[in-house]
Amino acid sequence: MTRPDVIVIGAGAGGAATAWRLTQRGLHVLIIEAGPRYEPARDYKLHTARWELERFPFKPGAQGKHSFDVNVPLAPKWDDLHSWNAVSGRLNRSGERVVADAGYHHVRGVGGSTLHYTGESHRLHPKSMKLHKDFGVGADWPLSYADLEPYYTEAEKLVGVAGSKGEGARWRSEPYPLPAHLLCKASRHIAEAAHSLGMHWQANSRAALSRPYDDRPACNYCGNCGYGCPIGDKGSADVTFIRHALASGRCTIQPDTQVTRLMSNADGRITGIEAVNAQQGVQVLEAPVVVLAGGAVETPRLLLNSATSTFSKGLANGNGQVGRNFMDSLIWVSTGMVDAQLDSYKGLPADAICWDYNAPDGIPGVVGGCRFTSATQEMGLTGPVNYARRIVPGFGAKFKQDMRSSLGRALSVSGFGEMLPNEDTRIELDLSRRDASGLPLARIRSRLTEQDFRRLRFMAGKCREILKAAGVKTLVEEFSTYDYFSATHVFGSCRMGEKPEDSVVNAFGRAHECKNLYIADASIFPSTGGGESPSLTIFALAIRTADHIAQKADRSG
Amino acid sequence: MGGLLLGAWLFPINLAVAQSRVSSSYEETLRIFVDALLPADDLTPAASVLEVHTQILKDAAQDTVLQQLIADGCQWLEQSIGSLATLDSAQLERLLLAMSEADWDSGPKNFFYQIRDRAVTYYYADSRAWAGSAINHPPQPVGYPEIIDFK
Repeated sequence: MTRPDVIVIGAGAGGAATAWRLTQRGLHVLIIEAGPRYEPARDYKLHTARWELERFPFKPGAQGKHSFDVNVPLAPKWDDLHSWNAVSGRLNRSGERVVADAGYHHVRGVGGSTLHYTGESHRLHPKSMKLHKDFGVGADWPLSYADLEPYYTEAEKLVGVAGSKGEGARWRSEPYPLPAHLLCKASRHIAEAAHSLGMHWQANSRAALSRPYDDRPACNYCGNCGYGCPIGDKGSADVTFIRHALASGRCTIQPDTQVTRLMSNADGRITGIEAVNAQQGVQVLEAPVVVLAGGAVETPRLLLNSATSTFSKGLANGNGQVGRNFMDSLIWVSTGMVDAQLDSYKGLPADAICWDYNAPDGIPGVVGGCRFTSATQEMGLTGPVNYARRIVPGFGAKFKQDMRSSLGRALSVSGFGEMLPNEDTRIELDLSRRDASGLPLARIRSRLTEQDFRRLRFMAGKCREILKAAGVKTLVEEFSTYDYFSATHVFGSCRMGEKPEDSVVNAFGRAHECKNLYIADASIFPSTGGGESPSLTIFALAIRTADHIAQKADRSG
Repeated sequence: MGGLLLGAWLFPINLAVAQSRVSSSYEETLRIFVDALLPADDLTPAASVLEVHTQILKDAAQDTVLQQLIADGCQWLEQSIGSLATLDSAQLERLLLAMSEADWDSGPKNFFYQIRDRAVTYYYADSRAWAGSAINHPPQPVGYPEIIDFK
């Protein structure tokens, strides 16, 4: 490719959608991706006996390194929210909040974190976009649901989202491209139990095909979206946006290539990007426009690591907002055993959802809502290893009998809640820890507030209530972000806004201080929503940003 | 037998000493231990038939903390009980039960928990352990398309 029209940094949800739309508009795009390519049929291990051990197979370079500042003493007042299971008892005995596994659960690669995502495809509640105006907290989006709605529709069509007719406040100009999935047996059981409590559950809108579409097969309900989809029904960015972008002939991807610096002039224009890989060493790449889509942790990291004498606090960071307003994930899951055999390891993960408490005023006494989902498969209770390690205690002959009688009878319900920005939660550079290129790592600093604990307690109460109504007599596991930092969804660290003094980018994702730099990932979200999964909103914003870039390119000739 | 668990390990074990003794004695102790955790039944073999104990020892070769745990635990068992081979199945069961119910701060509990965790992981990641279970094949390539049928 001769010099591209746009360089996109990151081939995850935002980068892929941006690149696709730009190629549709006739622009040439170079995507630089830090991680590897995945070949679904070869790389994912769901056809092997060891699939539970292999989980999502992280190839070399598929995970970034980060440091964490999350360890604060756990407040006894909220101790009923601790994580535990039937085999291990209390899981965190340290007395402090700690990092669970990798902490920030992500994938670097062509497709990014969509490679391991469940594929919930949610539009944001319109009220979540006006938190400051309507509720006096957080920040408002500088655009409305109506502005974004056409792009939601475009993204749903490209991905092949399967959904049911209506989702309350989230009005639609067109129906979903595919019909909703029918619920699996376990989720029907949950929905019926919740209905008896006055809750309304429905089929979740999912980036998993309910029938063949776009040369991809329908889902076969194997229950393990999070371990990588080998057949391609899951609408990860590689088999959707990236595939079509490459087919246009106007897109090139350079995987396994780390961008180390954005080079800029005194006016704040990006003049080039410095990138490094094993084959070519250090290269400097140029394009008139750069789109940064590294996610809410790596995007601010790159900006902060691109400081110059003119922009001493980091690129696009004259106001000190880069890295601020970071928001992560508020999660509660309860699991119990029912007497009936529900085959709960089978079916589409998160196929059923309840939006009853999702609006910002949905939970009594707090601002910021939540949603509830059928979670058994998402919790990994799809095979014997996880049952044995976590929820079936004991040993010997009786244990083996218990295992045989338990498989398929676990039932999990999860709550996902809103987080509001706070002064103490942010992304910073950790000058004491550096990567192979000598660049400081991102340090993820997370603190929960009283409102977060109250939302967690509400979610815990509801999950337990639903399971009890479903016939659960014995709870066997509960997981909570009260005592663990465990974030799949991260947001806010380069938020969009009308005013340059308290935001990093404008309503089209363009950096206030860098006229040819755009950001297209969840770092630009001013709010998280009441538990909505962000991928569809990332896709929609990215497509809108790409249209804006293309229009400006047309006008400039 | 429960009194033997009070106070956990009596002496810390030097890692260099442990390395020189990690082979046959500890392997045999570990083999008997995992077979007590996961014995044979009418449908499925004992853990050692699936080489669960050797997989754990392979892990320990790369993990000094695990290696130390195995050395400490096996040496404590041998010093406290003697050879596990001299115990009958009821005695083994009582021993494991006592270890499983010990304090979380104790060596026996930690040994029981860590070895059990690895043992069940390797055991149930082997299709020979699935006979008689509802889950008797990996999720792909067939999946479970029947699960959405209403009946």
